[in-house]
Amino acid sequence: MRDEGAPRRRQVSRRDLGKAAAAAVVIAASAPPSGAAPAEAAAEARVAALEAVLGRGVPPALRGTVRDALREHDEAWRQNRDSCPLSDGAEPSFAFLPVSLGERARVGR
Amino acid sequence: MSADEALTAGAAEQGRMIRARKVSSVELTRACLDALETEGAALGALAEPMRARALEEAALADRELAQGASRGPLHGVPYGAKDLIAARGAPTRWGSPAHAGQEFDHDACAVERLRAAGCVLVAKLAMIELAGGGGYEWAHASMTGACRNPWNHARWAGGSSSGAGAAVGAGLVGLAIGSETWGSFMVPAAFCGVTGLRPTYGRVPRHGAMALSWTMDKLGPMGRTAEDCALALEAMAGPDPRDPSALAGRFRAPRRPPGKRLRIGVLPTDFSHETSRAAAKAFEDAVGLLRSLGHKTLGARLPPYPYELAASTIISAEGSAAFENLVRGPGLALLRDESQQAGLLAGLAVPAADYLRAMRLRAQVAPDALRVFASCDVLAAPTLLRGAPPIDRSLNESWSHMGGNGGPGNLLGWPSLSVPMGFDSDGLPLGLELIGPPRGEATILGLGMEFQRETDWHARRSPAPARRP
Repeated sequence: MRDEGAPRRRQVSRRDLGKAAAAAVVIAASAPPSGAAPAEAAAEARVAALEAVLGRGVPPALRGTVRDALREHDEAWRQNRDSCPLSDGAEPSFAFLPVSLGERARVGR
Repeated sequence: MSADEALTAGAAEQGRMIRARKVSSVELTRACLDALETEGAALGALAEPMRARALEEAALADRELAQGASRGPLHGVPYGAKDLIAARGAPTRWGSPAHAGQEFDHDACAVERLRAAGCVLVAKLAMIELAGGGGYEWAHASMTGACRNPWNHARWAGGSSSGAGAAVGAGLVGLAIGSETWGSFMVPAAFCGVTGLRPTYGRVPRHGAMALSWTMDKLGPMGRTAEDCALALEAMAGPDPRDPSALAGRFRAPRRPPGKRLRIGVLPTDFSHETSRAAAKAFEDAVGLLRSLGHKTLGARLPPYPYELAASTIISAEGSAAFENLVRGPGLALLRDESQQAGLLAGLAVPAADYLRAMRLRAQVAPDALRVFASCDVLAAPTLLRGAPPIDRSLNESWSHMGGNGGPGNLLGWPSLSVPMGFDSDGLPLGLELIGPPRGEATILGLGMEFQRETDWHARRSPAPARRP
């Protein structure tokens, strides 16, 4: 396999993660506390955290779209999390199978 | 019969013509290549022709037949493969400018198996870059540009298996292999007026196919008829040690309609928007026809879960992880669609807890949702509620009131068949979706065959071919 477009993988260091977390905290703390602003600030913090992990800035032309995508993702889960509660520490496994375990056993895997 | 006349037939019919010596595989393959290189290129459906390999395989098929050896119903039949399926002798660019130099020295499992069944690979077909895993706003989100709809060249062919839909819809090839993670198969099948089968997750091994979402990607066939799809699935399905997700057991294609009365569960669909009128009428007629054939129809409803949210979370997280090197590097900027770039970046920031919640929820939902098949054998709905949108308009604007059941169907890994069921007021094709339980392909294909025995929507031909500019 040849993949000329792929750069070498950059390792994420503990320092990267620390910087990301710090950036998130700083931005979240500086967010105004009213209306939609907290969600906006949280999304902005996630973009900053992403940039810290990437080791570079998100291009300005994409920044708003990335932030909106993260905000919408967070909002969708905020609205839906309670509609489908999952018990803490209860499943032996959560592997998804399109067929039942019984059928899979019957057909040999 | 001339090869050009055979060209617009489906794969099963082409196979019968070849075995009856009405046309040779070489003649038909040459006609396919000529059509793909002219009309296919003009439509934007062609990623790469494979003339030398195709003619070699076709000549072998003819020699075998001359010696009295047939590999089966698809012996000598030409087909195209979406450009995310590896094949020796041609680049496999995944529709992506960032992978323009990419070439594999092996065939994907699906290609190996179709070759073993006697099929002839004629071309790699155009696709949305990286199968649109990051989301995309424009039809031209592909290194080959926007793929035109054979029924109206100012409309889009759909995506991400754009070239497969357009090439079959235009009658340039009788069979194409595509993929679906969410919508990539059913959308172009419906928009281009062809028959498309999204098999059960794991049915067709994915060795040699681009990975976008490990737990949601499926490979499957598009053809003129349900019979074409059944024969292609029979050739491709079955376990493969190189893909641990591949399901055990082979698939036996139904040779005829079911022969028994089925219980068809009609999924709730919101037809209230004025743009859905044609789909409402076509669907009502389709359901009425199925009922007149003796099948029982009843209302069916899936349990309420956030299927779409779970599916989008999984695709986002897995897609960005699958392309992490690209997303982290300069290659990302080479992608044609900024929404795709932004989506892949955002996917890297999906919290692990959200991804795992989606996967846990999926495992919990699967057995609950399966109960819908206790009261019915097949689910039915319009594949989409409108015909293809304009090719040059933002999909963020034009993709409204489309409907569809891709969220639950793909999240749960259920098989689905889209068959042509009519046209909208602009003369664009509409599809009927038949959904089955896991491993239920034979039932939906059999029902599709019966529907196509009674209708001729699948046999209609798109208007004047596109010409290379």
